[in-house]
Amino acid sequence: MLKIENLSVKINDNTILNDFNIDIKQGEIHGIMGQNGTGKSTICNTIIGKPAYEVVSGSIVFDSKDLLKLDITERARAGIYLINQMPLEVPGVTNAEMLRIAISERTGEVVNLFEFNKRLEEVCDMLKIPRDFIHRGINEGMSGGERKKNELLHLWMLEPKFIILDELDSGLDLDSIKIVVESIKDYQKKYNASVLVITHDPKLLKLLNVKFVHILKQGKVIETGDLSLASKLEKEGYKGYE
Amino acid sequence: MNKLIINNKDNVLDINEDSLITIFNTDIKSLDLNIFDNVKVFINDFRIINKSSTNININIKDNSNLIYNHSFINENKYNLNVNTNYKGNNSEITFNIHGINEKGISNINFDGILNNNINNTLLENIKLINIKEGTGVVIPNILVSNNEVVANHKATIGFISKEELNYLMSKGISKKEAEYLILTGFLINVFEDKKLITNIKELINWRG
Ligand SMILES: Nc1ncnc2c1ncn2[C@@H]1O[C@H](COP(=O)(O)OP(=O)(O)OP(=O)(O)O)[C@@H](O)[C@H]1O
Ligand SMILES: [Mg+2]
Repeated sequence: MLKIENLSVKINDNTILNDFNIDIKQGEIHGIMGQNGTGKSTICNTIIGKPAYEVVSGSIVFDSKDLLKLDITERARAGIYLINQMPLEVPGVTNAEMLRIAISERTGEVVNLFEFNKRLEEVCDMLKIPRDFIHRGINEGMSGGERKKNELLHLWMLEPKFIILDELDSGLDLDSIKIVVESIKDYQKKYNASVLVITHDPKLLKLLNVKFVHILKQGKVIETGDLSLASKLEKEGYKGYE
Repeated sequence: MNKLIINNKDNVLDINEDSLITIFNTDIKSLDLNIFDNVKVFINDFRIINKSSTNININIKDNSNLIYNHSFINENKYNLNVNTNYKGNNSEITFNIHGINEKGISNINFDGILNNNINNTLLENIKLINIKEGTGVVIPNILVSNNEVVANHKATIGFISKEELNYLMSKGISKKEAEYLILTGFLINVFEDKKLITNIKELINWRG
């Protein structure tokens, strides 16, 4: 589903990713771990197509499409969805407005407002967030944890097939982690979606039952394994990778 | 609470009770506000401006509070002059201004005089976004002649936020619609009045 080969990426003339490779099949859940500043968020932003991330070499193929030829909007419409480390606020633009436009533009059809509102309410209930989130400004005045849940509201409404989670667990309390993890698992099953999880916590990888764990160092995957690799990191930290 | 809608070019208002004043897309030349003691005044002012000069003069007495929320789209030339005069003590004036400069120039001049009285506050939050060929200039001129007052002036002039644009596009929204959403959000975001917000959205939508 998503195949990245020999990818090198620069930001402001600094090489951040250096010969990065990953191959994620449909329905697979992969995790990436690595120390601060090794380029994890850079991978996320490069996949979704943020212009500041300059691809110097390599390829990203998604569903047999050359992603590097598509802009951010087109990649999102192709089914790629990122939940950021710290989701942005967009003042004055409500969740409902944004989602309605996103759906109607993608499908080319006018959204049935009755169905749409009903669905929004169902998702709010499922995520245990107040229904008034629907008409609140996107992430506006929301806490870190609320923002993550708000992004899940978008996820369930937009129905992408490839999800990238950049430090999903940051800002979430213990109860919220449970709700969010269950929600991601449900989503993954329902849509047979692929998931790329980035985290500093091996426990999250276990909770999500990740199949492959990759360790990133200086913009490159230096080891790939299964969940036992996460357990090893949990015990020993990054000592063995200095 | 007293509710007023302003439809005239020149206005002199004596305000001695709590009031909510709305200006919705009316060309205002002058607005003289005489705010007496112990009142709270809210002004919501939204306008699409072609060529306009607006002079706002505020006289405020003791223990009163004015919140002036204003947003606008400037299509050609806009001069906004604001004069604040504190005639007593313990009063607060807040200006929240969000403006979009589409063409031409916006000049925003503030003359705030906080002299011998005590415990008065003047807060100005001004944000301007330039799109197409528009530009904006903000000139604060705040005179403070004693230190028992608070004066705070924040002004930013910039462009549509790239971060916000990328974020909305990453939900599958086209650049054009994303810009439209961001700018509309910016204009309504100084107001809380639901009806006014709906009216603004309709007006902008109709304008295209
Ligand atoms: N916009 C930018 N401009 C300049 N340098 C940047 C920019 N974004 C990232 N970098 C640099 O790229 C490197 C990798 O950053 P990235 O955010 O990908 O790290 P990370 O692995 O996600 O770290 P963390 O675990 O702290 O989230 C860092 O050294 C960072 O300073
Ligand atoms: Mg990061």
